[in-house]
Amino acid sequence: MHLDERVDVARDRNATRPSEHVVPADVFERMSTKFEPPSTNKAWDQSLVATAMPLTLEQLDDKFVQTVLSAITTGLDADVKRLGAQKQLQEQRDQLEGLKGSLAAFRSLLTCV
Amino acid sequence: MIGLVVLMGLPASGKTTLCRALDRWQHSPSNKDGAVLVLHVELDRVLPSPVHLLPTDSDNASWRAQRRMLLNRVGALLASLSNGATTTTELRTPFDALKLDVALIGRLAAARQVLVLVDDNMYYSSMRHEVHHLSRKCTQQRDRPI
Repeated sequence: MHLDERVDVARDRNATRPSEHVVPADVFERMSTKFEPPSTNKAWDQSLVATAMPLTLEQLDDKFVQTVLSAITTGLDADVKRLGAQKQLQEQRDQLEGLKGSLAAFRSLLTCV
Repeated sequence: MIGLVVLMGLPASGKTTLCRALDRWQHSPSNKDGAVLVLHVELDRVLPSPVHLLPTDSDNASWRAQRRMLLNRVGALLASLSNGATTTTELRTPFDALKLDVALIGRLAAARQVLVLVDDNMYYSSMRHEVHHLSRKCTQQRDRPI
């Protein structure tokens, strides 16, 4: 679910948050430039888009929440396919290869020491 | 049905506010017979360090480790739910790991839909793909697909 808020609106909201929740300005700017919006070309990245979020929890009324829930429920009809056994095996092999790499690095470190 | 809902957007775009509204709604009379159960995984609560926000050269490894830890915890919860777990004994550990309200476990049996809300920025496409992959991996049973 992509909350596609305008950068300037999000920036202003961020600045008015309680201090412990404020994202530092430089981090906010970097995030806004690096953000990759959902792509319609990738099935797994298709999203619901909610814009113009009300500012506070009190302003989110029952009707708004029901609309969001209906959209989510529609999305739930597209359940994901279980990862194939072959793919899972490949993942385990990849993890093993990663461990072997770490072990080799550790060995060479020991050798250096 | 278990729904994994990933929130994405800039900081202060309304992700947490929306999740809290859904969380509040589930306790209202509009949620007839507790048909919908909302589990709000709030990243800021699970990972209190701001390091998760954006990697820099110096904390890249830490950032990746924290994200991996979060995904592993979400994966453990999804796997348990997909396996049909409904008791506190079965779910206490994944609930505690994600700082979820354990009292909600008692409502699982009556729920027709369980919505796991992952409240994070998810600003890289690759992050979303990781979660999608995780949901595929955790789908155990046909009667409780994700």
